[in-house]
Amino acid sequence: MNVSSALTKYRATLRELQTRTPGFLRAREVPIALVFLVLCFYFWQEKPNIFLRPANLAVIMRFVATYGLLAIGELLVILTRGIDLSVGSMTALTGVLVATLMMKGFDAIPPFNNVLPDLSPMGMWAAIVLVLAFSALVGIWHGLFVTKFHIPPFIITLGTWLMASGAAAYITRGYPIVFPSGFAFLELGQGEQEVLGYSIPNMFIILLLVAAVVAFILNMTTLGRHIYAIGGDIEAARVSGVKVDRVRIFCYAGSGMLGGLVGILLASRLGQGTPAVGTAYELWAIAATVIGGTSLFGGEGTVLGVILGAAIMGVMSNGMVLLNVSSYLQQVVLGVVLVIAVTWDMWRRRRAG
Amino acid sequence: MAEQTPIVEMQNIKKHFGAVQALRGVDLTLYPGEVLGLVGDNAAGKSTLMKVLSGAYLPDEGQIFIKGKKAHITNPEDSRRLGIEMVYQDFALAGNLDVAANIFLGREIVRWGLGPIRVMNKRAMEEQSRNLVDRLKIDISSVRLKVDRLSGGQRQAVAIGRATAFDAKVIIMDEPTAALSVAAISKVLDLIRELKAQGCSVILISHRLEDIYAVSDRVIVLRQGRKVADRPVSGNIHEFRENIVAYMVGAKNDFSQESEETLAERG
Repeated sequence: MNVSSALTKYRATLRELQTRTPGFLRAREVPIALVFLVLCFYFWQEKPNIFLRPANLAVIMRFVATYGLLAIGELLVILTRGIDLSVGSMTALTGVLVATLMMKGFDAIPPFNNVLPDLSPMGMWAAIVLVLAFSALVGIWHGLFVTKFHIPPFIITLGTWLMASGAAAYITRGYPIVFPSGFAFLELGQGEQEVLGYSIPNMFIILLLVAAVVAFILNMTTLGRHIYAIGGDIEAARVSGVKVDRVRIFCYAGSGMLGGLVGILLASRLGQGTPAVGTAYELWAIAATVIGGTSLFGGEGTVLGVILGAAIMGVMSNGMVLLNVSSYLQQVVLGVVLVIAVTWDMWRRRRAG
Repeated sequence: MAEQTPIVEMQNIKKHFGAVQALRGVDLTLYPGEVLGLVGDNAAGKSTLMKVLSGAYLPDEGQIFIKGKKAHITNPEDSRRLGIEMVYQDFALAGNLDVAANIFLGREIVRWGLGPIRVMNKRAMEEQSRNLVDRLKIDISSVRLKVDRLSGGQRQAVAIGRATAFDAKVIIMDEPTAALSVAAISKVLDLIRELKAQGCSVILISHRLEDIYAVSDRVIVLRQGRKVADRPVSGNIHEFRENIVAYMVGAKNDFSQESEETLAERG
């Protein structure tokens, strides 16, 4: 038997298996989940005493929450063939803003510092709501430029990337704004909840809540269907009566707001608002969406896949730390994973098409 | 037919794109139950005129009356609400969505809504899509198939099915037969006759004059953004073809007087 006939036979068997397996096992997330489980198993048997320890799991979960939340935002814009490069430095800016508002007050933020009288520091929830609203507005700003002025999303969000990191450093003059220990706000990013005997970081619970909401929107509502339709064929969506501009602006607002949420959570987690945080986070988030099976050409990708993508990255970087892999080498490995993920996805797509 | 109120009346439609004057004041009337052929060379303005009617383009000037009432069509939704559906030349389907999702795109059946959050009734949409596909005898195994997986003929059928799914009064078809096999073409032509029998009006854009001849009651010829002929389809196919081609290339023009006047007006 020669190679090509063997291959043909293999493909036929594969197709046979595919048609026999129930629908949910044919979902594109299945191989990604398998990779995730294999990785978990590998690191667990390499470091059985450490890997499953609650403290270590909490580290992984916080990692997954940070990049998972950003990646869900990226998913929204990438589904509509967009991209949001601003979220990394937006986490820095929003972290600095929320810290300034709580520790100093609204009057400490330029340009308001010269025009406003001295104000007292803001309450925790007021500051959080204000910063979330601000970051959503930044997203709407991106959406308006993309839809009304036809600026490529790459460029307009790159502009914000520069502006936000500059503004974060300007507001703090480069110094972190440190919360005193015991400050109630710190509970948000540092606290944990007991769930069935496991302690789950608040950040991870927030990720699950956000994921549930976004998955609901994408799968069950007309808005979600229109997001996918725009990624599939924007002109078809437009002539079918989809309010294309509004839907795209929503996606950028969502991404902006999730960037703000991560900024707030990181400020709480680190106990300070610092302009040094968030460098290149947007690229990690985009990598997570791609590893999770999202097509950069739009119209394909799920929340579950994106979280699995973030989880693969989280488990890998944690496992490599446990195995004492040099942190420089860790980046190399993650880069290789990204390339494999994209190549595999393209190969699968061409075979299917 | 002339004593009836036209279902569509477009008056003096003008539209430009940058420096290009695509439509220079075109009139078009369409009567209930009529199949109107719309022909012209490339860039004559056929598709532009129809995109104005379907709400994809806003005209610079001109008025549209639907059943004698002035209509303000500013987007595809307005047009659909007035019972006008367009089947686009490139089908305007989202390949990553399934057949049912495409049929209901932009008018999903909603189970409940709360502001911008409107939860779809997927099962109802799938059932109705299945019925539609069966009624039009479209050969598709499942309405859950992604459009990417369909053949050209199947896609055209889905596009036409989508246009007829919602009680359309007027169906515009932009080159529905251009990309199809001979067998598929005769199916599309049968479908047009069927729509006419059900009381729909159809505007058919086509380069294939034999298709126009086969199903149309009347034909309008555009040339360089102007109407040059508006006449019933008559005679045998050879005379018809010769006549229409003469209009298309500019050898004949029934409205030349009028267009000179417009030119003079424009100075």
